[in-house]
Amino acid sequence: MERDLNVELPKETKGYEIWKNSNNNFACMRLHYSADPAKRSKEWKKQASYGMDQKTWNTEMELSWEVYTGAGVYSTEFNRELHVSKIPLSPTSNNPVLLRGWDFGGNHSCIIVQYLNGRVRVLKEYANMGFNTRRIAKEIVEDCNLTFGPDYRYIEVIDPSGLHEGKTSTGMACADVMRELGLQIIPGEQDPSRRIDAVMQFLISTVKGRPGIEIDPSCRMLIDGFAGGYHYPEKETKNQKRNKPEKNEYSHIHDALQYACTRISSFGSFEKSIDFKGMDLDGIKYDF
Amino acid sequence: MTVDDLKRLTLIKSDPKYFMEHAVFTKDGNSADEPCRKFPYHLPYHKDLVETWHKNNLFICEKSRQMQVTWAMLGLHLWLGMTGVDREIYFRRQNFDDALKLLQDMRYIYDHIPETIWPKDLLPKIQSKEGILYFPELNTTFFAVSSGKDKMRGRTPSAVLLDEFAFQEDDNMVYATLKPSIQGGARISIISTPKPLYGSDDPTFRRIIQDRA
Repeated sequence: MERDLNVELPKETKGYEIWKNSNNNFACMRLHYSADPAKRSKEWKKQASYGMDQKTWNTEMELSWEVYTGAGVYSTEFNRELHVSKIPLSPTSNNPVLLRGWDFGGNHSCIIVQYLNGRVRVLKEYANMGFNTRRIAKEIVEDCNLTFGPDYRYIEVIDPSGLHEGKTSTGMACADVMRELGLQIIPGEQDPSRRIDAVMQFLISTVKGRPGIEIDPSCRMLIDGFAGGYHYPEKETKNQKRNKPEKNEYSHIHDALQYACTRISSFGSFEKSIDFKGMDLDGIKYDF
Repeated sequence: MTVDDLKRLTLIKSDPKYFMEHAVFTKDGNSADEPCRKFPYHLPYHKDLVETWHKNNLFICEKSRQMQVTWAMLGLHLWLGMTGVDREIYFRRQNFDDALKLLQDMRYIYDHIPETIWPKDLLPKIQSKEGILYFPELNTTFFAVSSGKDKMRGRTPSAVLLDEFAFQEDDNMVYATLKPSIQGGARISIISTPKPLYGSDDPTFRRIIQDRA
């Protein structure tokens, strides 16, 4: 059959994807060895990786960019072929509630997720946006409106540290700045291990044969973080505990996802999201 | 020249697909039985790579090793050099010997173009000297260049191939040097495997892929 030569980017198929960057105008291709049918078997991988340490294999063959200092938080459970959608994801109107997970402090990041039939669909990421809460929140709200349309209601699951005053240049808490913008706020879980567990539960689960978490292919920082960029430190230091993931460029967007996942089963579904007025969550009363 | 030759050469010159499918043979040093192999254009990713490269002056590919992407790039740049005039094409790698190897491999492709596809007497004649391959009748020249920020400054390339770009020194400066050429419409092709990162490393290659440069 003759191929369609006028096919527009982006394009994705087995083992590779092609897209066009909007700013620098580069046509980009990401080419994994599994694009070659001869390299898809376990036998081939076993033979090809023989004598090669895992880090080298990951860099040379798995297209991994992570800074290799410690074990990836999700490296074992994450499977790019399984968890990254082959096509761009859009929200489905079966559930008009979208959760925005927010990480503050350092480099604000935000993730947009939808909870549908027990599965998490990660629709969009805003990674490492800077420090100005008011500007960033406005930009993201505007972009979500333009991207997903008027039919969705948003719940902001925020980094609990954002509830405290003095986090912004004006001395206001990030949460207060967001409230001023009319956003509905609930804090995510504080404890890192419980947050990671919340994501892990979706990562290792399947619902009717489909993965518990499905990620839009545009979420590159999140995906690279899953592949190992989000990792534990190799050595424990005074400021860095070995059981806490290292703070790096991937950690902010992963923190944002974790906050969202800790609250998604409570607030992400349409039926449950309409009656949480006055609810007490982690000692904080909600007034909407 | 026969009518068939004319039709075929017209087809080759209009689009690199036919050239890549029928005219490109690569060298496999690991295979004693079949060291000269037909380029695996039949693989879907190669077809899409060729099509994407042809349609876009700016192309970047992040790849696993041993996917024959460098061979694909050499075939495409040979096609580019043989189907136009007055072109300056640069192959840049971390060191000069590696850049020379690219010219040698491209010469290998040229030497193995089947007579049935592009008759030898119709091929543009090729000449070479250290670090340079050129087609005098087309006024087209290929240069091997090693990394070093000033090597490309002041040049007006028609095309640049940056191979294993994530590993090149001064990658940020090189990209900055190429910016005027990019704006001027030069064809820039960048390929690399990822490289291990340390500390706050942020290679230009990755920033281009992520649309941050």
